[in-house]
Amino acid sequence: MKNITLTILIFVLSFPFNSFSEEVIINDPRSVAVIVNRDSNDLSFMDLKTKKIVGRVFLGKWVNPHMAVLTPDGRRVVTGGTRANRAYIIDVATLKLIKSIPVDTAPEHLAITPDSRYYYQGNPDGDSVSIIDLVSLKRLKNLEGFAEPLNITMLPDGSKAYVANMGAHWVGVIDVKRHELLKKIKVGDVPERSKLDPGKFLGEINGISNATITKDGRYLYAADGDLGIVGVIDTREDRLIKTIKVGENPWRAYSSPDGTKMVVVNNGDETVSIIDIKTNSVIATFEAGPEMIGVNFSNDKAFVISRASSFLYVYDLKSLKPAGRIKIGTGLELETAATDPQGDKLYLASSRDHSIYIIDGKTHEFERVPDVGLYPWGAFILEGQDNYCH
Amino acid sequence: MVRQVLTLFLLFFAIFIFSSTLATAGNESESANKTIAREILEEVRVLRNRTQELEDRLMDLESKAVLSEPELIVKQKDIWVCDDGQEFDRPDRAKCRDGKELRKSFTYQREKVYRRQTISEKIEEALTAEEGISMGVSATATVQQAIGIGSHENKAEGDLFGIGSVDLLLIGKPALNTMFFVDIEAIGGFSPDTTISNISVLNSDNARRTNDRELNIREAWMKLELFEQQLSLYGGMLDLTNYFDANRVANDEDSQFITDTLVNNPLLGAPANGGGITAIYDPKTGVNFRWGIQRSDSASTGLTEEVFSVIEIGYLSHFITIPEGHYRVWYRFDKDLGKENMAYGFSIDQKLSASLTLFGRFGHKFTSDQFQDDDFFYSGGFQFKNRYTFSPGDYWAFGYQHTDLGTEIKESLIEGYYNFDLAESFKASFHLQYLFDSNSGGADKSYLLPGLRVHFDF
Repeated sequence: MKNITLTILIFVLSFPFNSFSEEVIINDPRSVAVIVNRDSNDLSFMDLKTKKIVGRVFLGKWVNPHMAVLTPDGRRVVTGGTRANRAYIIDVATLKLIKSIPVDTAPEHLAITPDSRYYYQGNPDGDSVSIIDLVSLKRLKNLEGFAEPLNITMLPDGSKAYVANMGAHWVGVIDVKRHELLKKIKVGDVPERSKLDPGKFLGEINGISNATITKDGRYLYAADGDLGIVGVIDTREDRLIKTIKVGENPWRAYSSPDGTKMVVVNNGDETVSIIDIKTNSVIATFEAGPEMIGVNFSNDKAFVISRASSFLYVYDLKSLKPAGRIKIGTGLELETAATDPQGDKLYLASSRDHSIYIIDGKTHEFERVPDVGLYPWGAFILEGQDNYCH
Repeated sequence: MVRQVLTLFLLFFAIFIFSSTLATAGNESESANKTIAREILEEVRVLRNRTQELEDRLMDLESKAVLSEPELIVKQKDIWVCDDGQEFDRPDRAKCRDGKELRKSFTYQREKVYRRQTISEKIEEALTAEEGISMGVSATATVQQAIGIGSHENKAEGDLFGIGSVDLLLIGKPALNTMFFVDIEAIGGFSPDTTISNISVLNSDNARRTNDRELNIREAWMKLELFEQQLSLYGGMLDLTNYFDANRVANDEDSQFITDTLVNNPLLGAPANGGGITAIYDPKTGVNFRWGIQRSDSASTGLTEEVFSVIEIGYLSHFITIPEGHYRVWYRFDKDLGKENMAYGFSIDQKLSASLTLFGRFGHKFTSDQFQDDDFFYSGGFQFKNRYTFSPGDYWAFGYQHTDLGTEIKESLIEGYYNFDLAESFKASFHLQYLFDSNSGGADKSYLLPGLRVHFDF
């Protein structure tokens, strides 16, 4: 009897219970950078210390992901597949694709609520924002009424979300509890004289690409390309408090880490405007380069990414003077970058040579990590100082 | 023993009762099972029909849809090669047949990517691809009237003048970090300078005109960038005023002041456009160095025969409380290092706020003639942008200049203008010039010159 009991116990204990639990690949979500690879249709995960790719998640052919974001709790990575019209949710620890959810046309940029509960996916071609519940993994609704919604900004308390419309001159305010569009805030008046220039104003519209929030969450800075202005919005009252004239065709504003300045890149005249947040005025304008699509910050300096020229233009924000430029390579296409939480290093995606360049913000030296995937479009680091997409 | 037998009997009895119960229940459930089976079969039949329907629709869709093809990209990749042509993707575990070391090289190779693009994206990509030469056209037309002031001898009293210019610009990029530029211009008409003797040049187009209404190659040069594009070299037919003595608010006769001495420093003395070389070193840290040489006389046949040479240092300032300013100091000599051929000057523009910029210029040309004074020039003024304007994009400015030549010719001029930014390619401006204290031509004169300028560029 005892032998029979012992035999039964040994059998039970040696039963492969581990086959029910997945292998954990990433223990600490803050230790990796998530890289979106448009043409290989995957997300790759690079260890920040070893600079090696520790895992990939293939999403499927023809997906062409655009922007990936880690939820604030670090458990999931979400991305929109621009050519698949779907949202993808991946478990960070096991790097398994949990679910793909249909959204609207051509999803690009997204935002997650601070409590990691809701995922707001912008669909510029569908003129809508899809709202996904990350607990039930279901799409709650497609919120319509936008004009090419390009970026979504969450308030730190998660109560409201602000949607920048590239196809219009207003910022939409969404109530995150009810998931409804509350109001539209116009950032500037279109001049009467625009009627003399139908070729420009009726041919194509360069509206607002992003409403950038200040570090304290009190104000938004929304740059409007056609109007050449930055509108300052008070988030408590949801109203426009000031309009600041900047250079031609401003792309968007980027907030300095100390919260005192906004750096606005003006692609129309290849300049950079520095706005002082306290006085809401332009305190410096610098020459920069063509096709500027991102700004990162490190060591009290702003690093402006000039896509076509393969340069990073550097500006000292303390002395308000140019601090040279860094030539990354020749004939590259630089995309966007993420800055690590310490603000020491920039992780810059370079699509043409399929690499990530790690730039030291202090010394300006850089190191190339090749073959991260095909056509990397951007990177995301949890709790990173700068995370954005273009 | 008895107990064990009894236990066994009870066990067998229980088994017997259980089996009987099962047999009875089996009979009743058999008919229920048949019903369930029929229902299941019916559902399977419905699902089969539905699947067939979906398959038929999918086939129909596939036959009509435009199939997606993978995009083909060309990728640069590192390879390791042997002398006999063997090529490896990785150096580890690769060996040449002749035992020699592998050599690192690079190549280009086509790869497939599963990237889907819409038709409009493909068209846009094709249209924006940089190829060949890009062309631009700009045209400026100015009308000015001369109104005599005071009791001076004003010959051009009441006269109306008009002058126009057309520029055809060609830009090409033949190789990496190189650029080719050609500016073909024609200027025609009459400016107030044809009738009013002055040294300020009342219409800057007149200062640039070679022959009336004739096509003229104004500039044709090649630019090369070296040392991580910090050093730019320009060689060919140059306009030196494009590189030296620049100014943010007083440098462009098409969009800023009309008067030539408010657009350029007359004592810079740059010769007419001709063959030359300019080098600009700009590390983008706020300081830059410029050097240029050009043949001094258009009749000379070589660059070294008679040389005009200029050097300049530029500095971008940012003093604590005020925005940026540009400070430029130049020095030049013309033909030789004789004192009478040397001059120096500076050009400043300083922003005081986001909308207000001050500017100033100064020039001093030496003379070796003991009976003659040196030449002096100075100008200054301000520009307002996006403030006190009718519309965003408009700007207006005011400038004053005074030229005092050692030959005792001197004059002063004030100009104000308001520029309307009407459309992306179309600007119009009203100007008012006041020429006074001028003794050029031996006669004192003062004129008020209202004018209108329109400018197009594509």
